[in-house]
Amino acid sequence: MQLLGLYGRVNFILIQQSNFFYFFTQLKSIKMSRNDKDVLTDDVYRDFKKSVNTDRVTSKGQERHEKGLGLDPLVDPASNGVIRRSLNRMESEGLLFRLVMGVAILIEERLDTTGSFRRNVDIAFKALPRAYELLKKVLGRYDLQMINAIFADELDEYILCRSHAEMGIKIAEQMTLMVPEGGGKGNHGEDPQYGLFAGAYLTSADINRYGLKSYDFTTTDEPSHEPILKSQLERVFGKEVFNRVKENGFEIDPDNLPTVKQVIDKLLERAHTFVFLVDKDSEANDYWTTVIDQNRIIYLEDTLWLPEVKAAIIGLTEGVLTLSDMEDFLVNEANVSKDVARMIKRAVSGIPIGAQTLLENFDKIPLKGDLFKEKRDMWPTDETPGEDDSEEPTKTVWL
Amino acid sequence: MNINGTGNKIYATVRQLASNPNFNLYECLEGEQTYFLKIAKSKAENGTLEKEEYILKTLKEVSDNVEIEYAKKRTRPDSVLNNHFFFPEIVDSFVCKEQQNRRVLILGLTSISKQTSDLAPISFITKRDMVRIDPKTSVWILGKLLKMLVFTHDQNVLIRDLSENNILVNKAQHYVSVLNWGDALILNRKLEQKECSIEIVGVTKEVVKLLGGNPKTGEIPEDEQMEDSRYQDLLKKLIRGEYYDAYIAHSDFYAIARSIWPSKFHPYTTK
Repeated sequence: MQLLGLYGRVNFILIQQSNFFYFFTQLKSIKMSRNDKDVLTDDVYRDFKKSVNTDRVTSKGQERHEKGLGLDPLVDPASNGVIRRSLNRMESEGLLFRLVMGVAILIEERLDTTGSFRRNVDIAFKALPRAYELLKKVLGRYDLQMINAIFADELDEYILCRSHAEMGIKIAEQMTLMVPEGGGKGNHGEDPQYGLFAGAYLTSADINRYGLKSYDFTTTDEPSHEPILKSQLERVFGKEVFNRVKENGFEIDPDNLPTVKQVIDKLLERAHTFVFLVDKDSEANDYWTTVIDQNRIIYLEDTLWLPEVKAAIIGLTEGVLTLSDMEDFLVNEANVSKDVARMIKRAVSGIPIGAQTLLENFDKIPLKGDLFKEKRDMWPTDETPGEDDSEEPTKTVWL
Repeated sequence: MNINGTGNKIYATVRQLASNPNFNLYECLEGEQTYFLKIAKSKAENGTLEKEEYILKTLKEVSDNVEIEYAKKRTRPDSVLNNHFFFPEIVDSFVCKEQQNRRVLILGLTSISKQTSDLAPISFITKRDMVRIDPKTSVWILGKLLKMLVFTHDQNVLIRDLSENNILVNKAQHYVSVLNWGDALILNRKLEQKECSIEIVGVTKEVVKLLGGNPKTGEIPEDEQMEDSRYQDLLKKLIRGEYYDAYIAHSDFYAIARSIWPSKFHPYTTK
């Protein structure tokens, strides 16, 4: 027996030997291991954490860097085709395909790791199980997939580390491969714009195929440098960056690159985008309010409550939470104090509430367990949005 | 048309008062009391009204608490702050199934007007009545608007709509209020000086327009009430953005205005 297509998910199984007992035991173990890997449970996280230096969770990535090996391909923005893809997960079922976890929803988080933010990956890693649980509560019908990214200054070794769109323990694994340098060079700003560029032009998310949007969060305390430079784009994403952008459906003139505001405007077309300004100075506020609507800037004193703030934003955007019930949700489901709940509510109260619910197909997207004819089909078998197979109410129904 | 509110309340719409891209505004009756009925233009705008409800409830809570604290410290027993005069009270809030699940806010300004018809946007003064106010009348309007900003800025709230259509006055009783808080932002950080300055300049410009003046320069027509240029200079200074603290702007404003015109009730007067 030979198993094919084992890259995180099993697509099909080719039986070369008729050993049914072996087939079923093997299939069971595959399913178990997939489930273990693809859902971030406390147990799985705890097991993985044993292999991590919790004082410096990125030591694996740092060691690789110190050996001169550069970034691990799993967090190198230039690796693996450059475009990061968030895809619906399908499993074969007879002649059909079953949607394993609901439609994939992508959350990209971009953390400043310069200067005093050098510990942000450690903080995010520690908070990951809490963040994951909360996100599952507000995104219950979707397949939660996350890209974690960190950014620095163009004068640092690495401007950007960017993971793949992952689920389960791989999210944690790829965090440990990052290289936060803690630099920044004190030059009045950092360089998150290349990460924002990737979010806008180098991301392909299935959620967008349905007309819905993913989520994009940038955390910083400084302005972004301008302009976006061709040389830096090629440095971060490789010489083929403009071909990859084109492959992903966008046309960009390398000699007339978009401004940061234009990049964010483009990103807003496919993602509910927010900037967290943490303990910011006036210069940072002055800058960010010129490139993104103030309703999308969230002011925070520190990064301690980022998981709760993100869950609150997503809950409001998805219509799962209202401002009226948010405090109860945060107190009861996130176990924060009333004061913290009020602070979070205040911080997020200006965002566009219910924005996802207004988008086409919000009420129509496929759900976990739906069956599809083809693996990349958008809609389940014999179902297209808008069609209603129910009997007309005027027809006589005999009991 | 009747709109069913919470707890068997029925709001009968009397007439449409205004609209903007987010909502329609009606005068409505509940029993004998008139209110403003604000309904989202579509379900898509429900969130804006939900946010407004949160801001108004927060301001009311803070205003009540500030009043209690003030009562402990005041030197005159009848002295009150009345910050709640500056914004509507949420009388009711609900999603109306009969109206395509649009959110409805019932807003009351009963502290400053027995009937909603006692109030009018200041745009009516120059655009409908085609008159201008005299300088003494401008004192209570601008003075109260600056007092409002002292309160809102202290709460880290930016109103972000201080246009002539959003500032209401009760001409007879000398009350001022802002009606629409759907564009407002309540921030969990201190406001920037620039942000405060923009709103101070904003209210001053509207009052200069009421005086028949130039909102860009602050220049107002000559008037026999002004014996010297002190009031004119103050308006110009406010419009130039030299004030970024509403408390100081409010204090300076009344210090100068009272030095010119001692405190005395001056009926609403136009020219």
